[in-house]
Amino acid sequence: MDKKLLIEYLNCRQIPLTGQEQMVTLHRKLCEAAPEFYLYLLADPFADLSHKREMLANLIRLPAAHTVTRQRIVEQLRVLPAEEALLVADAIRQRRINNRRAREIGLQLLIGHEQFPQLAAARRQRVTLLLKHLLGERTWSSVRRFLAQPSEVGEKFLQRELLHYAPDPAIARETLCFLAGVPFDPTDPTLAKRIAAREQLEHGEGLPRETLFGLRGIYHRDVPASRVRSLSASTVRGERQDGPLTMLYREALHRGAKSEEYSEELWRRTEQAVASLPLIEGRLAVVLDLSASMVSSGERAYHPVALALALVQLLQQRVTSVMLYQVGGSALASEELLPEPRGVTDLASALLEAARTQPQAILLITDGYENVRPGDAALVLQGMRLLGLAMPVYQVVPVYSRSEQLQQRHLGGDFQLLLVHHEQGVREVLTRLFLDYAAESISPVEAEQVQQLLLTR
Amino acid sequence: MMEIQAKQEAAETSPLTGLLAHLAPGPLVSWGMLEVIGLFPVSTEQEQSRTRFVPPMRSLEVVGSPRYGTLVLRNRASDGVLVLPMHVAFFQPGVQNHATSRVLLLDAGETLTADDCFCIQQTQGGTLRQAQQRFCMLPLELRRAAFELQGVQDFGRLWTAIAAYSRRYGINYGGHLERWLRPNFAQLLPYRHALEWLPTQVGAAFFLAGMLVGVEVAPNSAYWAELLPVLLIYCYGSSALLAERQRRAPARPTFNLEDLRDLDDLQQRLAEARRREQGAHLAQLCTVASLHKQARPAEEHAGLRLLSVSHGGWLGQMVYAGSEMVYLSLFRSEL
Repeated sequence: MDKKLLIEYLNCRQIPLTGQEQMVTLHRKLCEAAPEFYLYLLADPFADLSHKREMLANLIRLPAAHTVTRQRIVEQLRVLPAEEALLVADAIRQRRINNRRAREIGLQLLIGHEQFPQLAAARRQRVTLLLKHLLGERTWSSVRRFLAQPSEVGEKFLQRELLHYAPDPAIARETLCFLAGVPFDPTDPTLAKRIAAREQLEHGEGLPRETLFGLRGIYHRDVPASRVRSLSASTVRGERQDGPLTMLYREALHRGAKSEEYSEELWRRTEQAVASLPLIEGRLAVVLDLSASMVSSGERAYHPVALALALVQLLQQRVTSVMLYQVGGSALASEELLPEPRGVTDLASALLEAARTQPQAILLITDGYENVRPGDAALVLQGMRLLGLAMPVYQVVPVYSRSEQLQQRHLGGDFQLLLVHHEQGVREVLTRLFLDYAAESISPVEAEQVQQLLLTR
Repeated sequence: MMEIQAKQEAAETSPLTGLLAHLAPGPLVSWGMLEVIGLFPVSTEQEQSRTRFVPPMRSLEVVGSPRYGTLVLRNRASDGVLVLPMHVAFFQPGVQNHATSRVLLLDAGETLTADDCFCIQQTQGGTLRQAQQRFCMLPLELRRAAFELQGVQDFGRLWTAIAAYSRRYGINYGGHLERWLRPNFAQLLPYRHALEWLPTQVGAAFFLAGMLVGVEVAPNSAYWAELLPVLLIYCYGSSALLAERQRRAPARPTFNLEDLRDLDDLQQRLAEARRREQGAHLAQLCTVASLHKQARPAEEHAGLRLLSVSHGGWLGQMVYAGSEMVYLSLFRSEL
């Protein structure tokens, strides 16, 4: 496989794919070049949903991917959270993919999913439409009829078309009755709750907020929105779940704690975090920005510095040689576990120092608020290139949310910008370092290593 | 140890004189059009002797505004004088927001009524409620009007200036400062993040696209730590944002990369460019060093003297404790 394809994929995987012809072509090429590897990308936690939908479509449609069995595609889809898997599988309907492979994958995923009743209860319309598409209008119509009027012939039909996919046929039948609008006595608690909520919204307590708002719109228009919110399941905002190391650093810095209090726990969590990461051979220079702006403010307070320290900690454990250059800070991060962010941001001088050791790659872990003559870092990099120093230079920005505006904080076009919002982002950093050192064409063994770096949890 | 040594060196080599003689400049830092040189006390004794000046954010309480244009303020500290910075503004939802027109001096526990304040929300009714609340500051472009209109008892006298200012941002809502602030706050916040507070810092000189536009000095570093974000976001950041929108170019000397020999050469060129830029900015800062000679007394209270300056294109106020200048807010009248 051409490593450029992989690098391009890494560059674009977080950007929605809609209407981006180049990315569509990239996906096709990736799938054709290495369908086995491509299959694993379906479970890439950092890829935008639109990429996963494209992957599924390619895995179903492209002849090169037909070596990948349906069963393995379903298994890979089941690695995703149920709701996400449904949204990915819905690409089959939205793109009007009509073939046996698509039908088998869709039905195996849906009916065979252990959360089929929950999905049906929370996303009834989407699940019904997908089922209708997979089975076809006439078969769906027959399913409804046989569910409503049980018969021996009907039973055989249901078994052949649907129920043989289900781990628990009785629950699957209930769920299908619910989707088809056929009256039944629910034994599954989620379905029971969903049906009872039509009569009284309070019975639906704990259902997802969107589901309850949907029910309110049809059956309970007088119930205030605040009541619906209080009844709905508490949703943890997916954007904001820091990794264990980041959390620990953040808590310790917030408290102004002493290093000794945290060192043991820090090492324990570091060991856990690196357990599934392979060791990368290489000489890496890391410029760590510990200037005052890395504290940030408000709900983001101490997030950038905590994430930056976590990344450095993980890199030091998983790259054979790491040289650390620090900008600002109350103490040297190499000597003190919890240095306080402090001082101005002179990235240019630190980059120059890092370049002197001629590493294979340089990482600048910084929020990008270069305030000592903004633009100097870009000029220094330009100078380095003129002097023949061609090592890749990355600007790694610890971000709080993916929507942060970074135009002004990008140090310059020559810096490859990597946004990291979670310490697991170290996987992408390591993958890129690995690819920097690899030859233009990646062997299957190397592809497996990339897979391990990017996807193994 | 290193910090003490650095301070001693700074004291010996500080190029600042006159009004700023007790201060040493730090490195030039910048973000967008805004450049800042931090000012640091030349001696640690100076910082220690000024601990009686309490930080404004945590010590100030708004008691209320009994009438439009009048603010009743209280120094919550039982021990310590509060020098309330010039042109601070208070925003509360659903009431008429107010801003002060001058520096106010409040002794420990003192309640003060200032009746020459500005209403800054033209058509909003309601008076400020009692609160220990954060304050913001008038944008730099409004401070000249606010300075010239101090002492006049007409609560609506700043509305015309606010309306003209908002229009420059494309907002046409009359004298409502908050309607300018709300949509622009997200763009102002990076100035606060980028131009960081440094330990022991007590003041700063502010430059807009290479031109000195303001000098602010606080009594001590705790005071400054509270004041700096307010100045950066609301006062100077707003001007820098406007300058960026007007596509003014920063007068920033770059360095030439032609015939570059090695990394040492690159480092030298970088250092030289920085030295030249710092020198040019410091030269501008030295031009305001004698402004205190033009100051006229405005008020004496709590053992402090408040003086006003309006000279050579500069406006502002300064507070003296004996012969020592403890607070300074100077800004250019024409930008």
